[in-house]
Amino acid sequence: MLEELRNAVISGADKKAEEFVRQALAEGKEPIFLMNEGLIPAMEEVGERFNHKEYFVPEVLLSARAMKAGLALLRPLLTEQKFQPVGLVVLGTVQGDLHDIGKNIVGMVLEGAGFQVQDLGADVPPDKFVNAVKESGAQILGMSALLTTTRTVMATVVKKLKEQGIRPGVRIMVGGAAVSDDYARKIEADAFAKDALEAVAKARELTVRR
Amino acid sequence: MFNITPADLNAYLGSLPVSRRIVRRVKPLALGLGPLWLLRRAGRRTAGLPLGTAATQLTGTSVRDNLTSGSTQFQTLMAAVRRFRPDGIGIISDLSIEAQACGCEVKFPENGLPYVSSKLIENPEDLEKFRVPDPYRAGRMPVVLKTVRLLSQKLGLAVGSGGIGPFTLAGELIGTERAALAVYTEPDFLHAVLRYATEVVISYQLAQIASGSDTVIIGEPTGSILSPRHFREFAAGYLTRIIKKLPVPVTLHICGDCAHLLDEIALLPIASLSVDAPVNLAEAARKIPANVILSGNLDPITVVRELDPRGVREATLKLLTEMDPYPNFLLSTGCDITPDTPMENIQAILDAVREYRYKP
Repeated sequence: MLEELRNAVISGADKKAEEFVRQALAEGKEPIFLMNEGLIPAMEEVGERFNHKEYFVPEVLLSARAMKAGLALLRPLLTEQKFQPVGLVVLGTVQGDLHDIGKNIVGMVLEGAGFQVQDLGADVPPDKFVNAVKESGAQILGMSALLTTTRTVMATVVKKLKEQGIRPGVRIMVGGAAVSDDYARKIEADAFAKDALEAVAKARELTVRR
Repeated sequence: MFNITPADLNAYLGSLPVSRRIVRRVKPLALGLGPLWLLRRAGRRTAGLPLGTAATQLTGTSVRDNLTSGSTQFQTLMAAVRRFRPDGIGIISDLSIEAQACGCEVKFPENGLPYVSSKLIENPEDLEKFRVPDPYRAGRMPVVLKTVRLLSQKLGLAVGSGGIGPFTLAGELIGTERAALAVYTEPDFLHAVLRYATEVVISYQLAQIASGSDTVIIGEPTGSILSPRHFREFAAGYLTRIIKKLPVPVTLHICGDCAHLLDEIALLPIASLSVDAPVNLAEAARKIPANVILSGNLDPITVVRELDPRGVREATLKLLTEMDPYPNFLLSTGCDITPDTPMENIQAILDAVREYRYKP
């Protein structure tokens, strides 16, 4: 059953993924078990295939959609059983940039890994990031930029968080084609993630380190 | 009426000076292979750089000024020609023009390139309402046509223009994420949007050519997110149709890492391929035919904008040396040069290319 669930996610079959989750739950499987042993390893496999250029963006989107279908059934149960989310992540593509596919994949994979995600969408102005962090008390702020011309917005956000004294309370993670490890250091972000899997690993690390 | 028939174009081409007609007729001679072939005997290389956005510094204008006024952009490009004395000049690349002409909303950042901020087509029935926009009237298409016309009238240089590719335009019209998923979930709808996008591109590019463009660059950045199989199915056929309809040499530009698509791209009837910084250019040169010009691929940010002129020079010389074995190489940047790139850095690239002698 787990194998089938994983395969459904890996092959991007959302109806099947949903059906297998439903069946497994009916058989009395624990939601957290289905998540940790089914959805998460499946998305890790998808990430591997992406790294090896066996999967491309459409395949990853399809898998993420299947994972989300399964997760939709699990999430209310996890909340009911008082499983705390691993952490709260505020996420968005910076102002001037509408490229949100990568950011959406990161959001879905983070949710799949047990994070609560508040997605601000694309073309997000600096103040919107700052206010969302302030209001939600998020542990992590994730910003994405595909265009090098827009990545400077990230630096503006970091500066504003500092000015308002909330920088120490939040970990900042950046990603997207326009961003690198060097750039993350330069703007004093806490981490750079090159893809969705690395985003999950780094988000976990950043939540533990607090 | 904007429909340009092949007869109109032939009449127009016939009115050109012989040298320009040759550029247009003999595909491999244009876009540098002509100069490349001549210069090769002296062991020299040429550079083809997207100078327009950075040249706005020379005229003290914003990118927006240039993309909304043909005479302003013409002045800027003339300033670039005077300052850098390039072998050809291209209009500022702006991939929001076609979608805006179709009816999408566009946002202009302060001093950057505009981007499409609304989707237009939600379902297949919407498509029936759509007409191919008239390039002489729709949105900012006339701005480009005017720029091209002025350049072509005033300069003896090859004039390059261009626009968006069909898959990227389809992504703007229905949303890129939807276009990506659609290769699996709604391929028929995607094909319908692509057919429309293809006609938009052809009509706009023909108008540019009729206005005096000697060569066009089709930018298909979103193509790089597809697998080779889907690139073949959802991009290559439409690109081929466009290229065959255009009576001038066509360059294909793909942003990001398109290394996995080179075998597919090699089959397209392009005169030239322009690739971005993540691609290993020498490997690309081994995959594409020797009669296709390969241009690239200095990193426009980490090298061209951020290094000092000496660093830019070193990076340019390194790339030139690496490309010694490939006569069809044209040095360029991987993607557009940013508006705030120092003029000295651009000069450093051109100086290095002009001094270099290669040993094939």
